[in-house]
Amino acid sequence: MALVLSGCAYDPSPGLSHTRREARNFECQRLGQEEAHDRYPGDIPPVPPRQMAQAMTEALVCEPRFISIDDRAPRDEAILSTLRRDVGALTELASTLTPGALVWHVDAFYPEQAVASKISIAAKTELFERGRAVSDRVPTLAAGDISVLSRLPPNQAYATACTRYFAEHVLGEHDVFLGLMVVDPRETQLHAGVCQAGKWRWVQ
Amino acid sequence: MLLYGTRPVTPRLLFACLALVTASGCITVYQPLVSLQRPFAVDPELANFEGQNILVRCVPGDYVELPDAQQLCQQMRELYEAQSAKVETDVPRKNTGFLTTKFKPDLIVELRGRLLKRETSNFLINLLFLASASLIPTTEEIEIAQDVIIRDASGFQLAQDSLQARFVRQYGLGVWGVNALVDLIVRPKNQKITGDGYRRDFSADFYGHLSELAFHARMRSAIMHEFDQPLTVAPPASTAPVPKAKP
Repeated sequence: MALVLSGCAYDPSPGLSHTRREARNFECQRLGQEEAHDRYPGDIPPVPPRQMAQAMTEALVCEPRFISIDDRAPRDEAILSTLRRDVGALTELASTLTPGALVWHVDAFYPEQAVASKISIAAKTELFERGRAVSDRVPTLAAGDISVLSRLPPNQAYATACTRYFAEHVLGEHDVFLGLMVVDPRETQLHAGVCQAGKWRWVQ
Repeated sequence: MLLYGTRPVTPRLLFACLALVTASGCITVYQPLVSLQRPFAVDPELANFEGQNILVRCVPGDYVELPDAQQLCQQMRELYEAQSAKVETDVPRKNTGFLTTKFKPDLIVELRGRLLKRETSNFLINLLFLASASLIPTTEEIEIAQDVIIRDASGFQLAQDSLQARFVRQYGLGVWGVNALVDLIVRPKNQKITGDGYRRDFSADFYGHLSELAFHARMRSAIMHEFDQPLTVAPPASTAPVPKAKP
């Protein structure tokens, strides 16, 4: 009775059944009834045949997040929640800009090492699925180089590192290096750049 | 902060509310939908746009009327100025062109609001609402989208998104009473349902995302131009990623 009084039929919005914080842990999107029925046939009835030609009923479909929104830092959560989509777009662009039978080396530059590893693995997987030869080797430089690079702004650091990779024969003529990074720690978007034959080029 | 588009009281519901004017209460809850659900990392209280010229264009439409667009633009001006940007605003009217700005904008932020859905309880529920002296609640639900496109001065699109939100407004003494009681006894202060907490939540999400979107556009512009203009705010050295050293 209390539920009826409070208008609290099943609804993902905050109310008696969900707190404001809990309601934020739903990922909601509005679907047409036909699509909603295809995805959730037990919950959403099919579109009645007579209704097909008329305006479609919609369903608000909400699913709880696998990981609560408060469990990770906001930047990590934002990056990881769209990782596949973002990395997919960046690797597609990078591989279009760098055609040929090349061996791809991938590394991610992100303040949190655990997240950087996930970004790197996601990019390697995407490239492999596109039929590219992907190396597990991560190009590295001498400590002296890193000491200099760490004092440079990001726009110069990556280009200089690329030059050094080639000069030190860390990367050869048939190697290409894909770097994925956040340029500024306040960003929740990934950028990418490609290093080939000692030349650094920003992809996005 | 501004929360436009939440004046969805239809004549039928208005009548119902007026009929029970003081005996009834209303509660509104906010639920972030597409894009607004995503966390953001930009702090809108920091100088994120130092040295940047931003033109904010709020386009009135079927859903966002001219005064609302002007108010939104004013809020956007305050938002970006608080982050050290130089801001001009433009509310284009019908039969008039876009504003000629005093400066060359680095970013042009264009905002267009849309009503995605508005739904009210059916006639029977409204009848029960009246018959029960508002113990049985009646509901109104609206979903809005704020389409954002950010371009540079040449018109190149740097970022775009559609920020969507859902508001559920319930009318009735029953719904208000039960929630007020639960607020008083159970819910912590920052989780209360009655009151205007929904406005604060929406504003925090909305303006936070608009700050972040503009910041992303700024970074994308810098990368597109190969950093030909140095970033005026360098990332903290402790978190700036650099290539790895040999073990």
